[in-house]
Amino acid sequence: MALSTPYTYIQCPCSDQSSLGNDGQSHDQDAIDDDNERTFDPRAPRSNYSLYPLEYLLYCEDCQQIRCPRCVSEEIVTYYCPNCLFEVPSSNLRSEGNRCTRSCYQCPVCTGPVQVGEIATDSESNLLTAENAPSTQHGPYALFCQYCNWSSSEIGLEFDRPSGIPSQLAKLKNGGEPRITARDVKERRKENPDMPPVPDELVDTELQFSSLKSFYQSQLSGASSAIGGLPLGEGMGFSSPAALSRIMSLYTTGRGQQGKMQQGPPDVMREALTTDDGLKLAQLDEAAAVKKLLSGGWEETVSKEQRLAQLEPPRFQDQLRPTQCVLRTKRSKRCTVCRHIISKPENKVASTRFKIRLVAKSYIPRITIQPLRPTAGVVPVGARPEHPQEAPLKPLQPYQYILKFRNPLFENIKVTLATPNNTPGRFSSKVTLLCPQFEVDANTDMWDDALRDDGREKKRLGEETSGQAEAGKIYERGRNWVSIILEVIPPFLRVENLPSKTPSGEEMYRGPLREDEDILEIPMFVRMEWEAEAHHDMGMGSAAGRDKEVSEKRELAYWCVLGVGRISHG
Amino acid sequence: MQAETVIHPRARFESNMGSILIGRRCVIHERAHLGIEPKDTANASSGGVTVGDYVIVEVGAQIEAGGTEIGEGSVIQVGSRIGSGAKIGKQNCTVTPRSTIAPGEILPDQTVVYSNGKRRTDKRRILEARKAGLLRQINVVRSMKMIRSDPDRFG
Repeated sequence: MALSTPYTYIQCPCSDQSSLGNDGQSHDQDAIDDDNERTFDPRAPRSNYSLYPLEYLLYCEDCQQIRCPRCVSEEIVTYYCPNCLFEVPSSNLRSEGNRCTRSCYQCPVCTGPVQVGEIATDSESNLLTAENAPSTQHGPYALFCQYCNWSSSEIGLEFDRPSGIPSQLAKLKNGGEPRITARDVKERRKENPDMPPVPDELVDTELQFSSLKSFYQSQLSGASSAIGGLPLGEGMGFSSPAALSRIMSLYTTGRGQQGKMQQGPPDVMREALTTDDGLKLAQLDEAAAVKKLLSGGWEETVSKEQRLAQLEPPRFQDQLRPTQCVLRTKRSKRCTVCRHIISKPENKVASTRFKIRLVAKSYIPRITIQPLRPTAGVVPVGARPEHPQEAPLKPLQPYQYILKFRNPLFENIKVTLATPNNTPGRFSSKVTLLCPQFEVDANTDMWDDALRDDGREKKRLGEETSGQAEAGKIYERGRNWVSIILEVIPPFLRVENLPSKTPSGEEMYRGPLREDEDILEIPMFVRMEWEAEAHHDMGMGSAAGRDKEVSEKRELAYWCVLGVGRISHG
Repeated sequence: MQAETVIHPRARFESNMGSILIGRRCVIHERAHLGIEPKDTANASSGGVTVGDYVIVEVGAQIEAGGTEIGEGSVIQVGSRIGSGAKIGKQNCTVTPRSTIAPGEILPDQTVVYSNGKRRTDKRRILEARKAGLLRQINVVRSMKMIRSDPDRFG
């Protein structure tokens, strides 16, 4: 389940069903008991979705619970462009869409950032040897991709000015010809009323969309503007004479005609007939495209990812256009239960810090697992950060691991652990924890510790920390950590040795080894208790009114999965 | 190694498998490693590394020995790995950072290798400008009096 063993994953209680079952009346008392008794099975397909490494988990202080990425709700703080880091106010999003409008384009070939540059011609190399030539060349500009060296000259797009690229791009088609927009057509029609509609091949999707939209709008409004039907989408003008007559008609003709506004779409509507109305016939004659394909070959065509990123699905490389960068968001996370904000980044785009950040790492102990006698050698400094790969575990041999618990809280915690004797799954290994209950010291500063050293030395005398693996004793202790030994005996990975029925009475699956079935995973139940200084509200009872900080016992319990390693086959 | 080439410190040249020939006005950046033993020594051909004129080999690039050729004007960017016996074309080939060229691959002229081994023909005609830029860069390095050029010491 993980890339490199050993690993520890923590289960978020949001997927735990037993908390839901306790709310109402339960008909089946056994079911509830069963839930509590049942050990967590890391191999169940369901648990795959609730296990997270410690770095992914957050912690809600109000509920005193772990929160995983699945059980937090996100709210957007700001929108920004990843290229120019410009913050876009959310009001602009509705009007201008979710892309950057400030000349931030992506190369259509490799999605890398493109930069505006001048097109240098060969003759310029002579100019460069001249002294001090800070030339403000007015040469044509083009977009250059930083990564794959694509340039917009390849699709024939060159610009006159280096700024204001979006407007210039909108006016040009690939190949440098100006694009026909709806406004152009209208103007031409005004000058020349007998002009035939634009031929189908020249109509691109933008033009088609705008003419179709205006056509349907006029259809829906009945095209009988004499009665005062306003085109859809135009606001209610209060001062135009048409609006005045409409409002007056509402008052005067109440019973008679039910008001003209409720007319709705007329019964008979026609469809688009020409390209003026937005009809574009399918271009079935593809001889030109086929010829181009034959001459260009595979490299001339567009790949799937490139095509998906384009507005108009192209077929050939010279139909690609640079796309605008999509805006990204900064989000704040909130606990779904108590609506407390768990994580909130700063509003400024350029800073990566957080105003509020309640992560699980500062509330629950960090568990790491290491073999007691490592078989892998030390990684030389030059080859880091490679992880030392352990040899696979041999079956039926006991292996010992050091489990280290690091306490992030500022109080001592008492940790109780529990694991099932046999790991769940088809091939179960025997697991023994040598010391299931211990206490870990608080995460104090090093200076505090040193200053108070005299008093503390004697404290732990009752518990001898052995440097060896002995049952009932911890292995080693440090300032804020404790390590214990865990012993594991992996089984034989042979299907033939499996019993015929599982403990729950079903037929045992006798197929070959499934993927990842040879990874040794140990589910472990961790329970920590500590005394916290609870800050009560002012509205508490008078008994606690005097001292606002009363120590109260707090506890937190969760399941976690320790991935130990792979068992060797054969 | 021919004239007017700039070798930055910590570049490594190994001639165990064959000699290395570097052209004029090249720039070899730090930690570049030319002439590494190819992993598959059984299939590798003999011969060293030949680097054309005006080539830039950037930081951390690794070029294996075994008849490898890098054409004139090419740029091998940061951290790339050129396999043994590969032939990179002339005129402005670009191998983008961290790409790998398999042993024995032949790259046509003016090709860009990017992403997961994708290739494109680069139609920019900036070779002359690049050469002029390289020349200026080399002149700047040469005029930095602190750096002494000692070709005899490096053989």
